Amino acid sequence: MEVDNVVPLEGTKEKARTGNARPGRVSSNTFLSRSDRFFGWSLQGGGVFILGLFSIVLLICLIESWPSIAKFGFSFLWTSTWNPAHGVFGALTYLVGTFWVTGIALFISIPVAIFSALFLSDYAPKWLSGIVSTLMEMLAGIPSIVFGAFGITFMVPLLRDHFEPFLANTLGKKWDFFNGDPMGYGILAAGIVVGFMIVPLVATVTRDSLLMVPHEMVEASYALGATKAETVFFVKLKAVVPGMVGSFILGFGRAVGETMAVLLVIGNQASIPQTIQDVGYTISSLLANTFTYAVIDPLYAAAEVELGLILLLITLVVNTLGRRLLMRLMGGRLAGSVGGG
Amino acid sequence: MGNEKKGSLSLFRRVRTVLLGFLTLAFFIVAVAPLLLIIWTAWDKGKSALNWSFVSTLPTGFPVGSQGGILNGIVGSIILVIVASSLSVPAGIWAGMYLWEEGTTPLARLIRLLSDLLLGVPSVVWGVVGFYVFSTSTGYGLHWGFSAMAGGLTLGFIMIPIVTRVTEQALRDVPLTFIEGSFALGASRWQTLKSIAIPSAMAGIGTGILLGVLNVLGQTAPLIFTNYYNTGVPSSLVGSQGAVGDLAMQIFIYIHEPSEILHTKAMAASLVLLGIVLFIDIGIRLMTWGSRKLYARVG
Amino acid sequence: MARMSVEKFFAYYGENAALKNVTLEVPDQQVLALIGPSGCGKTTFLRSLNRMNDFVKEFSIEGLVTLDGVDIYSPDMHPVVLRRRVGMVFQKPNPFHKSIFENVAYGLRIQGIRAKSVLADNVEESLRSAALWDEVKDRLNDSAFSLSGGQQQRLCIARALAVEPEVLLLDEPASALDPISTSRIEELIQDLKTQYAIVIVTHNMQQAARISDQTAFFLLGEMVEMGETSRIFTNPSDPRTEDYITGRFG
Repeated sequence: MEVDNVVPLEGTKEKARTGNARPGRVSSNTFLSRSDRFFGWSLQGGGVFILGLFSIVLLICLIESWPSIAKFGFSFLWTSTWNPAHGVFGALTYLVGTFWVTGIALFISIPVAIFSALFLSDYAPKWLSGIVSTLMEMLAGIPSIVFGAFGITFMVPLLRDHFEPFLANTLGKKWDFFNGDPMGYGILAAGIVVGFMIVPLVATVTRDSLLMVPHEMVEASYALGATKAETVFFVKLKAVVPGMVGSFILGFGRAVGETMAVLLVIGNQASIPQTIQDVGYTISSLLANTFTYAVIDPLYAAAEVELGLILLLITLVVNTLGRRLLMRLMGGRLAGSVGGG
Repeated sequence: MGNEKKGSLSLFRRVRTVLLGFLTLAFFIVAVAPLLLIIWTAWDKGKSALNWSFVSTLPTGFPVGSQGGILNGIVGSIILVIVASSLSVPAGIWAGMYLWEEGTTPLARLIRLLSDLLLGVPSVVWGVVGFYVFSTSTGYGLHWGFSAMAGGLTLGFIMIPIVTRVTEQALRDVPLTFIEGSFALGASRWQTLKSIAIPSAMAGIGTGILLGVLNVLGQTAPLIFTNYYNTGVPSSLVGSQGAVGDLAMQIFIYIHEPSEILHTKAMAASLVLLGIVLFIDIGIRLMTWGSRKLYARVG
Repeated sequence: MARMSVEKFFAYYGENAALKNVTLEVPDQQVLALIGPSGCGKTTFLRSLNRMNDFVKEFSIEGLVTLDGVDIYSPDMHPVVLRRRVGMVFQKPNPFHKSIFENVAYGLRIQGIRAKSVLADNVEESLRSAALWDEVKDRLNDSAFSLSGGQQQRLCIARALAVEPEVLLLDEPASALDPISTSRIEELIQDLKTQYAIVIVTHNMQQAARISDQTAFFLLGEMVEMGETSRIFTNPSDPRTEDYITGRFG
């Protein structure tokens, strides 16, 4: 190699920082060719791109919601009035609706997902487990709008004619919370549909952590005279609690921003639900329904964007937490959840 | 325990063991039932509208769509996917290569975190962002109106972190010995990436792109903010004539109308969309046979 | 008197015979050491005594293994019950993701024992038997993973003792431990043999000589010879045993 073809890398400190051998990078801490120098420099652009995209998302939400933040301050969070005609906006109704739907979704999906994960990791024979895992992952690929259409044509009539009257006549006799008018549309329908949407996510992550439980621990349980079910439920499940919690958190992050499926079945009425049969409104369904009308009025638009900002901050916090929990467990091979459509 | 001395298991434990095992199966069936129910519902309610002209003609009649098909949606979805990919494929691969190359530096860790967080940004927030960047006619932004470019690039934003993550993972899955072997032959970093790492990671990167496409095809909410809908085929990609149809959007609009025939068409369109999605899904699985991990993470 | 006896025992992984025609008796209140080079089948044999090999695909056996006269591979003996009666401690400490207390109580809880006082008494007694009580009595609710490796292994022994086994199988229980922890485990084994029949697999011949009463030498899936430890180590009857214990192979 000729001398003028090689250029010492300026800043050997960068090498020292990254020089350890690890997958994907082999340290060569003496010389780099010109093309390599250019290449290394241009790659930084890829990182800057992500940084830029993230900043754009955050900045636009902050800038565009500023009129509302400046006008209402924190009281925005606990005001339930939403009156575009008088320019008074508060998020409470939509926050409550969002958390009801998310809560019902988690309540349904957590047991279903845990038991399914156990079935996939421990009970199904290997050949079957492969097929049905695929089936479950395909469920995750079904578009939100198709779930919503299914919710309208299948879930809503089922709830209205059977399940909601049943709830009112049983639990409703004791607690008013279950004694609402059976309408089909409402937070229950939305919660159930979203619950089924996040089952594959929660179940797959839980299954993956179950598959990582050391074999020795399982043997220890059998050697103490435990049956299979005892081993699976009392030892393995206990060992994957952090992974499960991580998967619930990711599920929450996914459910809270779910839009189309919710919009179609929740009834879209700006009132705080008093019973589980009530209609309601979530942040995401409000934005999808009304944002394009709101943009003509700066304050109205700002209030809507502020709702979006709240939703964004919730998902950022939640996904950071879930990711941290799962990263420790799985050594970094984990993605967050893709926001639903 | 007395019973167990003799060598047989107590009834309580036998029942518990069988019951818990059975419960896992029961809940699993509950978990996958929606998949089958959704396909069955769409088939049951939509099959009467499904024929060749449904996918090859534009919607007509009153209300619009009560006659004709969903060609506008199919064409529009294809346009949106092409626009989205033309932004997200280069950008995502670029960022993925950056993360692979930089590995564990503090900055790379931050970028990786941000990229993963972008994966979880709710679609309505993307809609808002896309509206202010591309569609709005006032203030900063590109003032492209509700158009295929605005909608497609917003979907492209959503796709970027997906392609990024899968590209990085695919590059990491290239055996270190390949890379070291290339260095040992005197190849530079760029040559190594170009001629060894990228070709070996091609299948994985392709998977990432398809995963992104899969996600984009199902997105409806961002389009409400940036493109909305068109019953015809657009003559341009930006401006007031630039909006395109979209399958997901079409289902949304039809299911919202109080019209039996449109509901049937919505179900038939759902069948078409499901068919495309499952087709791509199965394609990805065939491509990544043996390395299912890659898929499960992002899906 | 023999607690377990094995007659003409063959074990196979698929078509490969891992054990050929093994016949021996596990004496009560004594320590039986199984020695032999790697791959000689001693661990396979140990795991056949509590049917842990059932989880290995294509594993099959021939011959008779009895516990107190009952064939353990017959329908008269549920494998789950067998494993409670024939306890096992593994090479690497393998505590559960539970507290120290719950690790020991686990075997009792799964049998449906709920009474707090019974559990507490049992846990204390087991931890005392495993010579761990004084070290952990003030932090029973801490995670088992907060213990050192040697303590974890004694916890695993305590856990095995809590379900009141009759036979205790130890699969190289000290091989992953430091010398001090090893000698504590060895002392413990000496104390425990007054109550249990103990079978220990070990690579370490000094260890076998120190702690066992009987020694069985395995080679290539066959049991070459078994007898009083003192005799095996001083005056083996088979030349192959002599070669092994004098270090000519292995």
